[in-house]
Amino acid sequence: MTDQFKIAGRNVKSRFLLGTGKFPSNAVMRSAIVASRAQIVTAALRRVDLDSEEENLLAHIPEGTIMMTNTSGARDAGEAVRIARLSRALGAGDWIKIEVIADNKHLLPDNAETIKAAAILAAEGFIVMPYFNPDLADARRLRDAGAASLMPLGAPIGTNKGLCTKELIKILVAEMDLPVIVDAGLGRPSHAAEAMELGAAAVLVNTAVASARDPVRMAGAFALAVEAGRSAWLAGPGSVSETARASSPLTGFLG
Amino acid sequence: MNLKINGKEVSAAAGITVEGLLDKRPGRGRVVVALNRTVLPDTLWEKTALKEGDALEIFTLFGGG
Repeated sequence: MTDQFKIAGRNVKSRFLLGTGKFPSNAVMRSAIVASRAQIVTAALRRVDLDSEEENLLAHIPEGTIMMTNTSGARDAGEAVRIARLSRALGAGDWIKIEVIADNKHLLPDNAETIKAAAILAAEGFIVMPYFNPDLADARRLRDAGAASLMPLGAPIGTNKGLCTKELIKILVAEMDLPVIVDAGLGRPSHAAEAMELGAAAVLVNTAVASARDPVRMAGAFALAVEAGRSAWLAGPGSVSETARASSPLTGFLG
Repeated sequence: MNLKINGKEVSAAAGITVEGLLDKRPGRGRVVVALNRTVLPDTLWEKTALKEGDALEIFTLFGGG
């Protein structure tokens, strides 16, 4: 059975998206991207000083990778739009992860500003991938604004706490036709598998891989978990029962 | 001549172009430049001479999630 993953009409080879932040080195990051088999990886836009020997991130990204710039650092829609336009002018393509955060303590997204930015950027031809608090009404607003996917957080960024928003994500999966990509907070491959078993179209992970003792091995572990979870979703898990149900016949052995 | 580069006051040779300024970078990563908040396409870097008080911002891609 074919199980194609499409975003905005484009085939995407992997349901595992990887962030490029916090890796111990560019060489480890590159190896982790290869091990993850991710096709879409995220990056951030930052100012460079003329006197700094800035690293060229793109030189360490495997060929064939789709870059998706995030708008981290944006505190409102206007700043997110500006970052997206700068990213496109840099040649980083049309994929944009909208991330608008006004709260520096919890790093939770501002849905209202995210929706505003989504409408502007979708109209400019960006493939709009909004990171947001999993709220059904806002998911519908994002869809109407032209979002190509929905990226609800599993838990606050970088916490590795897993699927704290599980029930809300289940509702998005049930009600929305857009791909639901769980972004932020997934800390272990089992969290990723759980998200995929619930019907998420994909997951995006960064900290859990980059901060592992062996990021390359962890990238591979997540890739396997995402595949396993997806297969489980397609296979359709059996129902949960309150009482025991024998899996072997109870009669016919001793009569 | 005084310029603002990434929000910091910097002095530069009068009439230096954006290209001339970027040539001084030790790193050679791909960058995008905004002059007085407007994106300046790289095809214009060589032709664009900076003026007193111009604000230049230089961005590149970094690791991020």
